[in-house]
Amino acid sequence: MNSLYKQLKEHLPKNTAILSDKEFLLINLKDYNINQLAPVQAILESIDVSVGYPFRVLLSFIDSLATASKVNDFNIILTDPSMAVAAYVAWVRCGGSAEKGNIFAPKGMPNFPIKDGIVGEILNDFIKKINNNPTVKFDKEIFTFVIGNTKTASQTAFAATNFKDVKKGALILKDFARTDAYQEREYLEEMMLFPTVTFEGHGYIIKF
Amino acid sequence: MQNFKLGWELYEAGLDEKIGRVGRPLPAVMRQFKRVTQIEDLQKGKYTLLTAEQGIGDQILFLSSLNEMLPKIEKPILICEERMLPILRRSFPTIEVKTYGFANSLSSQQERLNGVFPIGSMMKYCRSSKEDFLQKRKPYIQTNELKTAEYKKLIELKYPGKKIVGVSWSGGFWDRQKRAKSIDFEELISLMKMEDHVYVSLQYGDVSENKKLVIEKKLPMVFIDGIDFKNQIDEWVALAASCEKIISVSTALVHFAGAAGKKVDLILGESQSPFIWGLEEGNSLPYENVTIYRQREKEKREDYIKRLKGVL
Repeated sequence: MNSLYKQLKEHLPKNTAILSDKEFLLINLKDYNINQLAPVQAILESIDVSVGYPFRVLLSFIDSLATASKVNDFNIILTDPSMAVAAYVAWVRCGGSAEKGNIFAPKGMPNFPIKDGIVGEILNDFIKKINNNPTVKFDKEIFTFVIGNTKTASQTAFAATNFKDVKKGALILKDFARTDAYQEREYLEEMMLFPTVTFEGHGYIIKF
Repeated sequence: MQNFKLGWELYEAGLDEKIGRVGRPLPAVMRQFKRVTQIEDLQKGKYTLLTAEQGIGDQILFLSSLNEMLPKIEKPILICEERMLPILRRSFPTIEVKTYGFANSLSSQQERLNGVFPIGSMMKYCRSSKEDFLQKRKPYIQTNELKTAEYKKLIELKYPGKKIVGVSWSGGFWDRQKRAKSIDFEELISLMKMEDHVYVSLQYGDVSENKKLVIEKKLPMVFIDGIDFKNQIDEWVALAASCEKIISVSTALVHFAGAAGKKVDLILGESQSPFIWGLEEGNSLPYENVTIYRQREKEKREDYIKRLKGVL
């Protein structure tokens, strides 16, 4: 991959650590903890995906949460297929396999690359487990990730409705603080869901 | 001496936590996986993370047994530092070669894995006698041929008709290692054959003072700017491969060049040196084209340098 760093390195200050792909460049000077974002980099690289900084922070959050959850079984409910990579990160880091983990997602999931080896095996299990049935019926007793964004009111409503009765899990909404998403925020408040907002504008609620 | 069977057996003790950091501390990220050191403990259908360990020179030495081990390991993934990726992927094209970061991303996927198999633990299966080393040594590191040709052309343009010799004069990480793994730069200069040779610096780290001296004395020595030898390993080894011969103290360079089949004259100034070079002079055990020149017991330094002058 011809990373941004490779293209720009002659013009950049000398530094000790770099994280970069074709869309993203983080130089470890003093503002960011590169290690926080590094674990997810390996997953993205392994499936040929590059993302910008704000989404990467969200993925790192999912990565940390999934790794720490140490669950025996789990659900992932995706409200927007364009966030399939977030579901994949949660899947890998929760230990998703042919036996473990369930995914519910709307139709229109993007095509993942065909890979050999262990990545190919994990991807195959992930793809096989995707349930596109519009009626989402899942076990609310097990850890559940509800991952979405605030692009449309219907997606937000779908996320909130599904998360409301979850006993343990996380609601993760990309770009929750976006200015024109005020109706979506009001909708969540009416359902007594008050996400914490990150510096990058994402919203999340964790239930344990 | 040279009881490798017992040696490798005892080497396994280095993984014991009681031994601590003087033993074989695996990279921190690899310690979250189950450790496996015996082939018979590998389960069928599962992946095995063959993890690099120790310095990069040791890693190259240990990888001398990888091709023999591959038929015994069903789903191997070689895990290494990012700087080692290009050269290892080219040298071992039939297996997956991945970074420590990638291994970390599998920490929740342990059911698919046998665990971590440190590459040093392969040696007991393939190099348990002196004869094993002698019979099995053949080049296994593939250098970047395009880059090598580019460097060679570049040097030949500036120094046509000269024999290209690579040099490295300082190695080691710990102070004690540095003493055993270095030769004074002035001593190295005294070994140079100015008329028909051109020397290429393969020395990593800060060489600014050496460079100044070379310019002052107008020595036939080339420093290639713009390559960080510590991090751009593939470029470093490609440059080394452009030389007809390499004169070096004991550093990782000797392992890379030796494993690539290059001719290396290895200068060992003290009796202390990595075990793999043994205690004698002459042809080295792990690499056919590496010849050891060791300062003999009671041999004065100036006599040793004089002797080197005659043979290098």
